[in-house]
Amino acid sequence: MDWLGPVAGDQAEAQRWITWYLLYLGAAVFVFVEGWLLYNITKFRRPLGPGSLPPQIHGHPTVEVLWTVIPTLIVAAIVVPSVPAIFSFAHAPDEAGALQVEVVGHQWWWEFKYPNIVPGKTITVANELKIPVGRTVIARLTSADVIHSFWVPKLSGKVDVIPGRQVNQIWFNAREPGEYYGWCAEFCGVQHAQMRFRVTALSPAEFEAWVRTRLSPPALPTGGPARQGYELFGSRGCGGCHTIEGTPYQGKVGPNLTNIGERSTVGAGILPNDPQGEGLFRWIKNPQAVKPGNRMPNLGLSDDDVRSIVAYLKTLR
Amino acid sequence: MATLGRAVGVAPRPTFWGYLWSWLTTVDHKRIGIMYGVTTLAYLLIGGLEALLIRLQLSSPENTFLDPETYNQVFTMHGLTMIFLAVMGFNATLFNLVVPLQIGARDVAYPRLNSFSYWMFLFGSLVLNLGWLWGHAPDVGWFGYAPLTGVNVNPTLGPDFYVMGLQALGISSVAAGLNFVATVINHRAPGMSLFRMPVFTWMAFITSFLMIFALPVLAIALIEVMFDRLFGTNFFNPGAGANPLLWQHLFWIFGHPEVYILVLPAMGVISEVLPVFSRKPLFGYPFIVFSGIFIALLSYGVWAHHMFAVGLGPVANTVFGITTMLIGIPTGVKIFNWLATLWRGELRFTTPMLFALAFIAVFTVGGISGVMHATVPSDYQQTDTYFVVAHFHYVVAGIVFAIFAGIYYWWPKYTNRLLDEGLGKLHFWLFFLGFNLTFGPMHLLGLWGMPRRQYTYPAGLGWDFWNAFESASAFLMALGTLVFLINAVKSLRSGAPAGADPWDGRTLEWIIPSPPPAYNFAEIPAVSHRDEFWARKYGAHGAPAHAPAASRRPLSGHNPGDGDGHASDNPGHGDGHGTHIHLPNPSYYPLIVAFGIALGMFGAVMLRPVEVGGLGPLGWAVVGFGALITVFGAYGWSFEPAG
Repeated sequence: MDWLGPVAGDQAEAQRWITWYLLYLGAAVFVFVEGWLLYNITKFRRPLGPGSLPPQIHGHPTVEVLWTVIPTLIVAAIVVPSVPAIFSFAHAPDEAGALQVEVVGHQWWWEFKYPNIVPGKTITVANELKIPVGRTVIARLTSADVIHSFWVPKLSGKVDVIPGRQVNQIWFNAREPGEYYGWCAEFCGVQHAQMRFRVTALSPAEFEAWVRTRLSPPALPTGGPARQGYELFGSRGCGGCHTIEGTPYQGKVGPNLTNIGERSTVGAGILPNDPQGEGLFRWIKNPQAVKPGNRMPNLGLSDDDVRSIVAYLKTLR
Repeated sequence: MATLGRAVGVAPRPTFWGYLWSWLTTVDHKRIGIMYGVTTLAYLLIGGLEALLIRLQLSSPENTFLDPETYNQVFTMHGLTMIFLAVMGFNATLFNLVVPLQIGARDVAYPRLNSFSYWMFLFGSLVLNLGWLWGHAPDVGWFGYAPLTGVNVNPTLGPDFYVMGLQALGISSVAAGLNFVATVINHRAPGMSLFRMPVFTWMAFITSFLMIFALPVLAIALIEVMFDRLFGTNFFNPGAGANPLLWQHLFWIFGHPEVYILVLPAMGVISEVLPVFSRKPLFGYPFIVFSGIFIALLSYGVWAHHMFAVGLGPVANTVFGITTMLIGIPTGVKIFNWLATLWRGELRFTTPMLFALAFIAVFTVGGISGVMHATVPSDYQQTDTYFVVAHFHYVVAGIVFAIFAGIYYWWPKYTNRLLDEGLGKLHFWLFFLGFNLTFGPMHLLGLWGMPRRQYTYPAGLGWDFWNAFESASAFLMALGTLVFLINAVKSLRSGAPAGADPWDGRTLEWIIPSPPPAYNFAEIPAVSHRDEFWARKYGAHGAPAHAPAASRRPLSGHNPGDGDGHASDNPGHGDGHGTHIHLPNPSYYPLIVAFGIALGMFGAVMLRPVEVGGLGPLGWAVVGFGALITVFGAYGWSFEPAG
């Protein structure tokens, strides 16, 4: 989350540079003001003795002009490099070749879509956004409920995600492959603190391979606990809220689970999605214990049922 | 209480109820100021307690000390309490206690309106806090961003208490603003031109204008939320096509001037304390005054700097970024003039002076980080992180340094007792260290990406140590505050007598006895200088040739410059040495009107359905009852002889 150290995006790099510049300027002002204050405190701590007063100075026009002009120059020194940056952030470089994604904020998780990634096909995932290294990404952001804020500090600054007609846009890129943390940065209710996400930058070839995998729905399980889990997913009502492509489950309330098996976390970045399925088990067994107040109710499933569902979800890769 | 009673020169009443009644019906700015002071001190402690709860929860990652719903209520109420009740309350306290004395007035322009302001403040603060007892305090942040306050998104009573509580407090502030504008314009002593006014009075004057023009914007926005929640309108409902950003614009058009409502009085206190304890006049008086005016005007043109990330576009962001940075210039001018005031002075490090110096030190840090936020590209990263939390605590909690400076400075005027200097210094160092060790590391956490308003955070992001460190440090501030309370009690019981002019003061309040008699000035002083009292003691130019004590010239035959003069024993309505001093009669109507309004507002909260804790349509009965009481009180008020 540290955006003052090494960062991976062009915007974040520019922001990091300006922030360091401000910190140096600020340090100079700090040293001057606090230094003068300390000098006064140490130098003029003196009783002058009865009958004598310090010089009764009421002011001095020249110094007033001086310390009006100097702060003005400092402000100018900040404005000059920052204005071009503001405008450069507003327009994505290489707009034609950019990867377009749609971000939808929900209380308290993220929906990511790749509209028309191949003509006529849209990929929908949740809480983990895959992008190709080096390519500009343009995200268009909307909210399903309240105001959220999309923030991946290593890649770029924030932009708010607003319900209603205003669709905000932000561009970013990743210069290096890696996993970058994202966080909702606008207070959005009970579980604002646990509305996290990840952006994973893959090499272009890996990204192409990932897109190809996602374009065809995962195979239905044919037997064993996974098949049981598939049935339970319907009979216990999971499919009323969640979509799994290639199945009758087409709920739109909760996150799309078509690729849940490949995701590294569960519950919007809260629990690890470990190979043994412990994280998924804890979540499905009682989501309210993991993330109190979230929209998924405790379904009261038996341990065996939960294990079957986990076995099924693990096949969705 | 006996000391407080004595403090305002009221003859003791025979019974407790009579004594209580005299406070409930008082229209004396001094007693109203004391009531404000006691109330706001209580809220400072409550807000501080809420802060400690926040720090306990954040002391370790994945902590479960508070559940998320409770945490959100606590951080919301901490912000609301500190801003609207503690700091604004202390400002009202000092306006009441100091402004009339500094301008040589016997009271404020509208004494009954002044009483109304206090009662509205008290009842409004109760409405705001009633959520704790009614099962759900506000949990939407002090900024209450729509549509988080929508009735579908948040059906609890929390936002309703938020809306009605702030509305009531706003009425109090607007009434106080009008009162102090009228007081400063009309009630200055003869000869006190505007540019002979003490700077604290100047800042109170400017702040009063800010309150008059800022709070109505909030009032309108709150009425719209109230209509959305109670009557199904769609001002902020995106589902019905509204743009929820409208709320943010309205809120911050109020909210940024609000910041200067908080800080300008603090700057005024500093501008009083520094010259007194440097034994020099304030350096660049007109520049400090005009800087205050300039800041106040600019404050209405910077609101969108709270909204750089909402997508206003590069042009708006650039403009608001620049206007915001411009505020740094008059602020810098003020800081430099304060430093020049100290320059070559004869500094005395009393407790009020220490707090005043600390205010400069920490406010400078808040100013620097403020300019950093105004730099839009950097703000895209900083906003909504702990860097912002650090910034506004260096400003707003920094104001608390000025408040303590003001308390230590003016306390002897009202109690005729000094606060203990040893305890005062202990208080100062605990608070100063605790403050910097709590809020200083928050800069780092913000730069390391820790978002704010989070009830929990995961381990392993490098945030654990500093959070624990901050939580421990917060208790140093609490300890410092405790020392202050001990000091206050000790001073009231057995403090050293202060006399009229314990600090070698410069302004009119130090001419009259401590505590001031009910009528303040037996004879209204004629003013011929800025720092009138100083000029009387040391000559117009403060020529050091004059020995201070010898050159002291009494104010008048009736009112000697120091000591408990015989005048202070006179009850207010009596005649001061043959001259009839007219003072307004006590009145209980302001209390009734304020109670009626607050009850009606509570009734509006109760209009919510029974399932969420309201009374449903029965709430109309409460609203109606409140309205009736209000009308009765206003009617009686209108026909009451002013005395």
